[in-house]
Amino acid sequence: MPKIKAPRSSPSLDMTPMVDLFFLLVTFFMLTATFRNEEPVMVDTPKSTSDKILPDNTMLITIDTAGRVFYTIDGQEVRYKLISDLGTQYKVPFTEQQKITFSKMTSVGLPVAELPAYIDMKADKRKAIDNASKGIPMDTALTEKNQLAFWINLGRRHHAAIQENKVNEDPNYKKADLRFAIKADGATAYKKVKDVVAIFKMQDIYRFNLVTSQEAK
Amino acid sequence: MAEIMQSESGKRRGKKRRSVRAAGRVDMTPMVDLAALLLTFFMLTTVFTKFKVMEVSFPAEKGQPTPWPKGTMTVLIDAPEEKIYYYFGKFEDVSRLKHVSLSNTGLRKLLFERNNQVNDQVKALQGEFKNGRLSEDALKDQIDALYADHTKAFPVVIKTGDKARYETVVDVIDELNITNVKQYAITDMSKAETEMLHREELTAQK
Repeated sequence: MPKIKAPRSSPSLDMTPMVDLFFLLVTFFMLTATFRNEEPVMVDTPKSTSDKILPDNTMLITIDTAGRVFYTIDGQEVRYKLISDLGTQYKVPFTEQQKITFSKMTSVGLPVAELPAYIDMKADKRKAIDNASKGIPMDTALTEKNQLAFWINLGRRHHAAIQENKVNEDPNYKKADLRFAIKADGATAYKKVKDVVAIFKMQDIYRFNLVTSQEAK
Repeated sequence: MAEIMQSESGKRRGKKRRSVRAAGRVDMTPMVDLAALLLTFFMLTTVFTKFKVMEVSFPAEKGQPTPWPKGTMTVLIDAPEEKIYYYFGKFEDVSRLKHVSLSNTGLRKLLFERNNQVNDQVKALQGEFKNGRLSEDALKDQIDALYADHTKAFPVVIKTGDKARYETVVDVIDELNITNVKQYAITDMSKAETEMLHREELTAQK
């Protein structure tokens, strides 16, 4: 009796459609990806039903559960000018390189005097400093010690100046107003948020965007 | 792995050498590996959920405080838990605070019922807009006017104490947004209010 031969087929199967699909997905994700911003502290924002998304051109104040305050502002040019001015204000000399590095960083939560050393560090070491920092120094009055007030004031002024320049260069340019956002942990004492709001109020800023994560109604 | 199939040369002994015919089959496994790796990477780093924001205005503390109309509801928050109290009208006329929960049947129901009149009128206006009897601008103006009318749309004052959690405050503001309360303010609790709230809490514990 002749043996029954199983039809011998090649074990390699055609992977082309799968590869096609994979690359399609990879392309999709690459193009849609906006990378998660490096955040200095973990903040678990409260939920809300609001559906407005965080606008561009924002000055963002992050407050963690311990009440530490971190500062972020959109725009490299703004950040460059901001750090130069803060250096003059607090008599902390920043080198050109440090200013450029700072303009590419996102958020900070340190007294101005500690910034030069912080900027010179490598990114992974900065993390440790962030964890140990006490945040940007604040005060209840508008004094030298109230560094957050200077951060806010200078950031706002430079943002406005840069927008003004752009309008002068190109009359069709639409001026973008600076928005103020507060991102606080849900478990933060409201008092801490109130302290930050009070500093904004001193500079006649009353409108805020409270950052929340979305919740179903 | 990466074999390019060739016919065995041994069989062709004696025959004329032909150019080797390569089958168009390249092993794609490494490429697939790489593609899958990239795919995973991008999937995990992509942020789809952008943060949402809630717009809030805080009252300026300069100048004369605006007197709140009669029907004002004051919400008091001064506890690490989600515990809120409220009263209506002027504080001087109030002897007890009422407790309300932060749920669908608690604060939200209360606010909805208080704004029934306005909400009904807004609905009627929207109906007229759909029928084409009202222009879009007129609709907007009339709705704004309705919400600004203190005798119908009651304003809410949120007063916070030192122990209040940020989350509770955000939750209350969110409830106000859900129930279309457009007029509200956030301020500090007075000393008398704090004392009354603590008395209330003590009686609740007994």
